[in-house]
Amino acid sequence: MNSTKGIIVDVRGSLCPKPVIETKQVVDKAPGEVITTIVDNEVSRDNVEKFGVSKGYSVTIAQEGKDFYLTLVPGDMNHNDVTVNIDTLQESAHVGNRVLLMTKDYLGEGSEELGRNLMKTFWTCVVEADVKPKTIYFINSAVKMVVTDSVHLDNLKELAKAGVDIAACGICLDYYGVKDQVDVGTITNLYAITDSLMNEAVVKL
Amino acid sequence: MVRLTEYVTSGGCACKIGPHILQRVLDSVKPVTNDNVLADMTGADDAGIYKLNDTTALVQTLDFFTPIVDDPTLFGKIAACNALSDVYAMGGTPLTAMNIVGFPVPLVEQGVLTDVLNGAADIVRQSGAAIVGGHSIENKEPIFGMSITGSVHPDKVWKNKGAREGDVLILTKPIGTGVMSNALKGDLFPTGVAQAVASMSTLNKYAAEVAQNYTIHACTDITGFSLVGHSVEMAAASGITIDLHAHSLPLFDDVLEGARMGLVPAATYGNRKAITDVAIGSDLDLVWQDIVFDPQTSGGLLLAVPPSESDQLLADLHSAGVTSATMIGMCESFSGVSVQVIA
Repeated sequence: MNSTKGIIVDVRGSLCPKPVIETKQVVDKAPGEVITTIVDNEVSRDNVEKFGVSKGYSVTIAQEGKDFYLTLVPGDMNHNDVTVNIDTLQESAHVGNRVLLMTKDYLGEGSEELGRNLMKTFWTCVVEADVKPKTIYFINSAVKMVVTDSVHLDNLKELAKAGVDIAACGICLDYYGVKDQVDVGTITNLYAITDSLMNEAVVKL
Repeated sequence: MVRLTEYVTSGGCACKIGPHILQRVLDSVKPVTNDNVLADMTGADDAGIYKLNDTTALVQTLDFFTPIVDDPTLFGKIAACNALSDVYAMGGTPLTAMNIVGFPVPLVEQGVLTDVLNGAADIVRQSGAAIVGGHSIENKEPIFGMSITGSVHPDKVWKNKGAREGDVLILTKPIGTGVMSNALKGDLFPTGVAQAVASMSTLNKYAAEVAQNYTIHACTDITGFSLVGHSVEMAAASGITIDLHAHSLPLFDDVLEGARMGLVPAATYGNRKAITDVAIGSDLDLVWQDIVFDPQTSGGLLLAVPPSESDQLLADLHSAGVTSATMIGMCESFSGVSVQVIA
């Protein structure tokens, strides 16, 4: 069970722009306080995060089931002074700074059959890892892993839930004729992927 | 006082079915067509065009949505402007309009529907068209819109297709109605909200009439699919790349601030997910992602004109009262992606 710190704004069940507006009302009334806003959809999560950042708060997000707990800590307060009891939840879903570039739907060189089995185990390991990748890009045959009937869907959905960005190359999905079957993550393009390759800590597999 | 937007459970900003979902449905329905059809949904154009004879074609379109503002008269005006806009975007003249109504009975009894219809009628009167009928059903959430029939010369239809390398792009209204309709629900940014409301209830007639005197290679109106989405449609149909200059975009006051603080409609996220044929400059502030994908209601016309005529067209638009008209980009030879958003 979650316990939270500071003033609670529970806007589960509300759609945009209510979560932002209710959070703002609390910020206006109680500037300098720690606030935890609870939402139950990704749009509200992203919007409340934007709001917090724009007002100079540092925002941490933890997920429990369908709910997101956004803790807004005023910029001049040391984060370590704030004991948020959802820390344990955040640690288990900790997202690091690595980017994975998946270039095919099996792991390693040599036997493809072995590679496919290794891939299954690999995703299970990533799900259980303490530090997860920030983003996973899928290009060429790797895109088959994010579509309907893929044996990896459960693990990849688990990762998406933990805050890992899952993004597959649109041209590649088109090439394999599966663009309408994407079941996890978003569709991206080579511009975004290239940008990431140039600027981030990428591991190619 | 009735607050119309409070009747909308799904949120006005979220009331559109996502384009990627819709496409899947349309792909599985066989087209019904014949040789007189000059434009239908296959070209992603704003309205259907049906040729009657060598000098006349019908322009047909309809649009409806849930309340985006609280004032019923204004809601009627905005819905009418939005529906009529598709006819102007095809280079046509509206002839007749019909009301599309789904309303909760208590609101009808309070006179709210009367105000909506009067607001819409006011705009249709300005357009020069006639209201010839309509249909209503009882519905938990209020919805209102119009079906419009217009006419156009079959050889003078403005389509998405036809923009050429070197063309200048002119946008006739500011961007940001999605962010501002969220601001309105939170009673924030009254100046920007007032500008957006005035813009949404202004017909594209005035811009279209000026543009009729110029060589228009392609035209579309900017609505729910966002500036980038409608630009992609134009670029893809024309086989070119459109460069949009973010810092040139006309915006309502405080749109940037509103987007930064998270007044971003759900449909913006949906658009961003669905529209992938676009490259956004990595040097651009992230807030532009939310601006260029912002769903517009009753947005402006996006006109592709030859560079030799663009300055004069812009000057004429300004003197006709279309003061927000701005050059926002250029058409280039196809570079591998339909739309590039640059600083």
